[in-house]
Amino acid sequence: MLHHRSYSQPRWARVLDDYCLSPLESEERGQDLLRQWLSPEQVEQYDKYQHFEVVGCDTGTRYRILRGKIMNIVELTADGRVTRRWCFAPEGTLATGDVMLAQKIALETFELNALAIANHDGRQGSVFPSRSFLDIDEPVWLVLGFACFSTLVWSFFYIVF
Amino acid sequence: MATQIVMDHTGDTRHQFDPSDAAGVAEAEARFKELTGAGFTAAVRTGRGQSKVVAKFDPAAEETLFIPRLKGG
Repeated sequence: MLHHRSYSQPRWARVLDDYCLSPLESEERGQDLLRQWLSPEQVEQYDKYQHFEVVGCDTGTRYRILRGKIMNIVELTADGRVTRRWCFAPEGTLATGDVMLAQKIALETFELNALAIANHDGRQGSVFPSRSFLDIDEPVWLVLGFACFSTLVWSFFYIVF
Repeated sequence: MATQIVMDHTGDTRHQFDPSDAAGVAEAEARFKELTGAGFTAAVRTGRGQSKVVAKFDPAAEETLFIPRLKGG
């Protein structure tokens, strides 16, 4: 029996190693594992868009799994619109890649059981945009934040001086 | 060599065993039962991007992934 981190280390050293792994290392390992279990098409989607799509095994529904751990599963209509967001994940503190892989396997192999325990937001109408304001890119939020901050600073100087 | 992959806080922990080694297979089977008994879901990779959930230990499976119990987020 081999252990991938056993080498010649004593057990206490391996345990220490495990707990000293930086979050970044854990995240990298999680991403590696995820990529090993994705299909080539899903890897391509993930590389391009930071998300990939899966088809539910029970209903044939398409889901998009976004990079993340919380409310990162989006249910899609046939024409690609978002209808609902789902949230379920494995217990414990896991890397993002691990969580996404667990979600993929769950939807592809026991969809209805997984959704039975999942939380979700309300079903959206057919006109619900596939990109809500919550999807605004981080740089846009930074620009908006900087604009607000600049306005506050300018107002402060305008009032004081 | 067959591999059992257990998701954990480090990303994953891997245990390898030789399917032709009876002692290794027995240890792997014990680990399978212990993990699934604790609520882990075992999935075997069946193709590129494809997998299936298994309830019984399969010594011939090249890779078995153990996923902690799922909960609503």
